[in-house]
Amino acid sequence: MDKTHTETAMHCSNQQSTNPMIQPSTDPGPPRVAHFHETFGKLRAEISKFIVGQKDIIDQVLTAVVCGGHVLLEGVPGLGKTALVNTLAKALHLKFQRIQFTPDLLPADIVGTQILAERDGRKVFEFQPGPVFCNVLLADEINRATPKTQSALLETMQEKSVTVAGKTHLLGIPFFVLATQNPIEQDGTYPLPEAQLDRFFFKLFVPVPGHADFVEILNRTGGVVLPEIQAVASGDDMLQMGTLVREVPVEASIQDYLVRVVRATHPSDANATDRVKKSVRHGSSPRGAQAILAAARVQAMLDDRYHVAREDIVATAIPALRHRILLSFEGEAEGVSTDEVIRDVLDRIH
Amino acid sequence: MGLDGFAEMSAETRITSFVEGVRSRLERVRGARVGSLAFFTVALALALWCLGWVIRGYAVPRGSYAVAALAFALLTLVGVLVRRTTRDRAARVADEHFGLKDALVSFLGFAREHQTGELYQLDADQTASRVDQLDATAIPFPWPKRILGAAVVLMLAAAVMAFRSPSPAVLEKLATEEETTRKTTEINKELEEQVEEMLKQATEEEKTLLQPQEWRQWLKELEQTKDRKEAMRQYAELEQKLQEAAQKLNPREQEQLLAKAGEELQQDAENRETGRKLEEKNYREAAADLKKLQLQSHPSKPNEARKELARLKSAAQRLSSAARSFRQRSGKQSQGQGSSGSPSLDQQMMDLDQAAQQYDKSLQSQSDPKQCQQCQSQCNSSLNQLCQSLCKSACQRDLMKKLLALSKCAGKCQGYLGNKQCQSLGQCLKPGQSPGGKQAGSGTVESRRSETELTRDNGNRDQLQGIKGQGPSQTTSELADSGSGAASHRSAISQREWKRQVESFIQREDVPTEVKAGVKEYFNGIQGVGEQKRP
Repeated sequence: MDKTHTETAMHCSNQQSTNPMIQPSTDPGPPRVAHFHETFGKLRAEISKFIVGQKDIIDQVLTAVVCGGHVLLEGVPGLGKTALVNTLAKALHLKFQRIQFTPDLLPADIVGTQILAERDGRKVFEFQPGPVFCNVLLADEINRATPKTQSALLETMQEKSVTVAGKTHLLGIPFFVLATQNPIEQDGTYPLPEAQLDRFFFKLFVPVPGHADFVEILNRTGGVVLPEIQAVASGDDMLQMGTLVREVPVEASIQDYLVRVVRATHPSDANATDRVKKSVRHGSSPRGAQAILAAARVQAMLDDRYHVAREDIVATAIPALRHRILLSFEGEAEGVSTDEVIRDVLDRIH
Repeated sequence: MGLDGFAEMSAETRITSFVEGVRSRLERVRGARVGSLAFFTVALALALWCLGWVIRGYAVPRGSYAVAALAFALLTLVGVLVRRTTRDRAARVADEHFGLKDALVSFLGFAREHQTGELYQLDADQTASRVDQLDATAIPFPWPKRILGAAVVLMLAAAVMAFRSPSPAVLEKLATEEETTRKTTEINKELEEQVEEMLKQATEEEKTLLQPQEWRQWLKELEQTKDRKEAMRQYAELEQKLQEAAQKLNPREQEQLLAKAGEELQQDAENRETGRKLEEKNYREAAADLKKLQLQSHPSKPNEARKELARLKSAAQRLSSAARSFRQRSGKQSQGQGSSGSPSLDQQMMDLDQAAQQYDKSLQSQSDPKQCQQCQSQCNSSLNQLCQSLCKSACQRDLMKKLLALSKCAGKCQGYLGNKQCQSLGQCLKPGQSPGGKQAGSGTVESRRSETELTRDNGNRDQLQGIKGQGPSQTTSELADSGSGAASHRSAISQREWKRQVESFIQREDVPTEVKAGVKEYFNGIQGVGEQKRP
């Protein structure tokens, strides 16, 4: 089967330039650029020590982290979602916390609470920070918690601070939330509302590994010695990388292309495809375009370029938009996926 | 340029130079495509054009190929100049072809916005180093082979058709068209000259009846044409217009009245000649004769005056009688005035008679000389008016004849168009004669009776035979020089005169049919009497 336009773009942008007509440049570039490549490469390599395959997922998670965004990982249990986040936290030498969301989880279990403590013979209320006070937070099975508990976390993700008893406590910088969802076992779950899904930078589907990866997983994890993950980057490194990618320029026509793509997800837009008009109730917000642009910049840097190309936008559009498009009843009834809708749009808009 | 020199060139220059190279390459490709399309379009049009001529049997006009070449050049030029490849498009094509991932497009965009910064410079340097390794000529130059092939085939077909000569039918048609064009030019010139000649030679009286503007306009509408049918149509139209114009001038009623007047006058011996002239439509001469009847003697000499008046009165009475019977026949009670405001001819005749009678009364009553003079003047005035009307009628007739002659000429011109044996128009207008002659002959539409001999039959329709055995003999007897002759020539003449009068009587339209039948019956009856008398 021929690759679709989007798959081809993703394939191209995730590789180093292999254009036979152009010899790759040996110049590492300025220090900041070299630092970016070096840090990203180290993180990728370190995480790959433990996580087998999932190269795209690793790159996309790192992309989101560099851009300061949160990621929603969806996949069946046992695919290494938690292990990935754990490994990432170790490689980044950042404070890592894990919250297992259950239906009885309370907001205070996430953000913290006031406790009565004795200090110098006096009883005072002290704020006991919750697990959210970390750098990397793994919110496991976020859809199992009640909407109230979900909103407590999601508000924290947006504001990067916690207010308890009228007092605001800032979270550490950087602060990333990597949430997971189980696509099976929907009973007793509380799907995240669209407004809150919008806070996630990327939504990634973790696929079932292939045969070779399966074998490798067993080899790595079934032995006596487990791979040891070293910290290869720090929070400051991520911040520096984030600052650098913000400087990557995007040309007006490329930006225009991005806007046309995002607008075409709305059924009322002139460029909307027939599938969008039929299957989509609401398209993506400007936050989706922001996510795509930020991610496209990272893609450009990874591709050893200093400008954003259309391929970068195509490569990052699906993970950035798939959770921001609301399907209509007809779309859901026909089993249309948002990925198909986005591919349609990308094929139509040039 | 050495490597150092090359490196010294800014990244912008290198990139711009590369993009320009790509743009010119694309322009060449586009030019080749446009040229091929133009070639195909022109070849197709030319082939269809040539086919159209060949199917109809004509040779293809040589000029078509020059026009085709010009059209090809024009189409190619327009196609090349319109919607030229822009730098942005060249950048887009180069990005796509060389896999530069929008590097050139981005660079051009940043340069347009005058963006500066570390990453912008890095991007420019990187793009420049990439394009240094590239060659714009690597962009493929695809020739539209199918289009060109089809165009060549069509052009060859058109070229082959160029050598085809026209069919015999077409050659003949072309010869006919050429001949028709030449002839129409000749005819138009000839007709124009004839009309101008006619207008130039028109008398003062005729000039009042002429409509030169209208006739010149008719001639202006004549076109030089190669279509024989069209040419014949236009000359047939002209002929009809001339005939209609002639018919408008034809005073039919007046002629009937004057013929009637002529008949009446012929009954009077003194005015017989005038009456004959009127019947023969020699109105001018008749007018001259009538003018001689003008009263000149002074009323103070009544005897002479009466003599003069008697001659005039006789004529006037006849004329008046003719006018009355004309009015009766045509159903006009009292016409009064004619179309131009002046009294009509019949009224003039009656006025003349009235004036003569008035003058006669005044002479007889020996009234005041002034009054007599006045009456005389009135008579003369009426007579003059009548003579002028007669002259005008003569003028109308002449003009009518000229128009009819011209109409006939137009008719002959139609024959000239279709007559291949006629070498020139003059030959056709005067058939049977040697070629030449500038003017068309003029004829009359009426047949003229030869002067009748008093002793012979006058050719009337109804012949009445008198008593058999009587009447003119085959041998003529002549008057002897002296003594009394055996036969009187005069009596034969009188007899013939009486016969003619009666025959004229039964031919008159105002005589009831039963009267005519009765007269004929009478003569048939007396014919039988002659037979009985012979032994």
